[in-house]
Amino acid sequence: MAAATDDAGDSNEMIRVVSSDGEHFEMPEAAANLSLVLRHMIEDDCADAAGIPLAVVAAKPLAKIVDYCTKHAAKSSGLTIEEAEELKRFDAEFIEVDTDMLYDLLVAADFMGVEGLSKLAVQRTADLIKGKTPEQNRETFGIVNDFTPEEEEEICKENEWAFQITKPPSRLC
Amino acid sequence: MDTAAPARYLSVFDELLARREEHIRLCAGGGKDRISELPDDLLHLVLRRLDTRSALATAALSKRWAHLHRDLPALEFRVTDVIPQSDRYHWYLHRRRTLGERRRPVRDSTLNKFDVIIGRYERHAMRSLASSVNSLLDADNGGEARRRYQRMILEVFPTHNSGYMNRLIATAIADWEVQDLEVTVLDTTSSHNGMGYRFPHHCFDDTMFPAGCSLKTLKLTNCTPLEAVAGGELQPPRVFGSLTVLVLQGMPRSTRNGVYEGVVHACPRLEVLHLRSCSFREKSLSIDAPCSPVKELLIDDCDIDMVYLRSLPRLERPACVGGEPVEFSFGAVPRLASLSLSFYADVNERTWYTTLMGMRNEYPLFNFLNRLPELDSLMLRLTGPERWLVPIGLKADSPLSKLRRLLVADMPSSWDLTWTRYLLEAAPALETMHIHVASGTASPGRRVAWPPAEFKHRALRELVIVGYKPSERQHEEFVSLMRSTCVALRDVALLERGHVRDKGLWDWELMT
Repeated sequence: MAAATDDAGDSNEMIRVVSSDGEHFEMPEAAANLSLVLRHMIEDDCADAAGIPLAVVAAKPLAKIVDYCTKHAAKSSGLTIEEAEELKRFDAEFIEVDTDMLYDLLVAADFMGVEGLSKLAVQRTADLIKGKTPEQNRETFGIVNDFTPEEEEEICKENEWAFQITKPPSRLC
Repeated sequence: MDTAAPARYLSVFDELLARREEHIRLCAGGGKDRISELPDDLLHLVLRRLDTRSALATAALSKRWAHLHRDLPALEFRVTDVIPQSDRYHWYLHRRRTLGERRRPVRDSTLNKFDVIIGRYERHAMRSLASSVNSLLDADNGGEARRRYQRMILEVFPTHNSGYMNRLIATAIADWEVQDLEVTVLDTTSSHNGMGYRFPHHCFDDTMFPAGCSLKTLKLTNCTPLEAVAGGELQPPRVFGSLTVLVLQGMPRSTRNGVYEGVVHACPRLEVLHLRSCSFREKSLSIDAPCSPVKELLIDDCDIDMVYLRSLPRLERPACVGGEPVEFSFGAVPRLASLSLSFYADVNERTWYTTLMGMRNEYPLFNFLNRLPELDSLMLRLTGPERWLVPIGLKADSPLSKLRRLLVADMPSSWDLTWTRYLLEAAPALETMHIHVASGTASPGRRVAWPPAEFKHRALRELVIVGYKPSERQHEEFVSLMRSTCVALRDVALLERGHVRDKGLWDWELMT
């Protein structure tokens, strides 16, 4: 599966990478350079026809990452305002994923050292958490509440600032 | 997949793989709650992107999350975040303000009614804040994992009950080792008159901070840093011992000059002092601190008439921006190299003084440019409907003998350029002169007489005028006067369009 082999790289060499479950991907060298790990591999002459094995990245997130890097590498230097906005829109759409994929992207981007994507995934996670009650967040991320009621009460008391309701007592109305 | 990777691959991956082994194990687990399985450093990155309230709320998710938030870059307690029904509160506040600004007097009883309602909202929010802060501080007594925050922001309404605030600030500085502290006392209605907040020096004693205090930056809004001390004889408080940046904002009119001078004495490492929108009881600021390392002084939009810099031996960059021209008296400031001044005045404005003296509201240049032998770079923004500079040069004994770079920016189109001759005469070493004329339709007003033909400037090499109007006769005349006066003039650029891009307060760039 060659997820992204568009004309972004023009004269650039194509870099092959292999996911943990054995799928092969190709991307232009400029795109691969966005990943710190791949860049170092290329610099050390470790990129050959067999492809660079990425032992902890599965095919699904790797396809997304190749997609991301190819897009960003094609538009890396001398952005016009429109192009920057288009890239922003691309990012916003790109990160609209379920929590499973988000988790995979967080780990994979951090592992591969793709700084922009790492930031994007972290921000998306934060956005999902922001302004929600713990109950809502547990539901979103499938977190199991392992507190005893006493412990929960204690922790809520300690962090009361987070739970100060902004509904008024009746006499203010 | 080619699982038997050659050994040379392993050497590059080795370190990363070791670091990420945990990930592999976790991925294989396939549990549903995958976010909690992320390593601490990634979860910290997520928490760092959250506001304080959302970050603290994650503690209640599960045991995995309970203590993650003890290491955040910033902790913010903003009382405005917990105002009940904030829409309504802001509606009342807006109505109260617009009523107060009406021309027709509004009955006090109406205003009082609003103040009472607004006060209730604010007190309610303050009670929530007090309770939350106490709970957080009480929980720490249990001896859980230590908290670390770099920055703390506390925003409150004026209150009589400041005990918990003192406790919070003391804990933040002494235990959490906060480096950057911001305290804002909001003053939404005049009903808070008389209720102030003082930095809680009494919560710290001299035995604390044997290795020095962590506090580096302090920003206080409408909050007194310390009591005025005559002559700065007092031992400087230890808690200010490492402070390098101090910003005082919105200090009330009752603040004595001694408070401002006092903080300079009280902070032996202070390098940057910013005074923003402050009032001065004596309408003047005087600093005499021969031991102070202050390098940067900003007076921004303050209600002040006089600044006496009697002694600040390390001062490099003072700036005074906004408001009416301020009179400067420079004493022992041997390192003063850059100066930035930005004043506005209306010559026709009538004050008791101008009425009494039958004068126009005018100021001489030497009011704020005098005795600056080391000055290298000067930025002037003098504005107003008409030129308010009296056509008098700098005093003969105080030339700007080392001034090399000069910017005169935002000059109204109603001012004639010829007044800059006084700067030219005072600065024999001037090499670069940049003038920016603001866009406007008004034609230049009264000219200033040009010095006699014998006067020659022998250093000026570069003259740039941005906003030059070729159709304007006075602009053209000014350039030809400059060409005949400045014998070393090499580069002259007259640009119709362009602007000045500030590079900080003391440096600039002309953009076309």
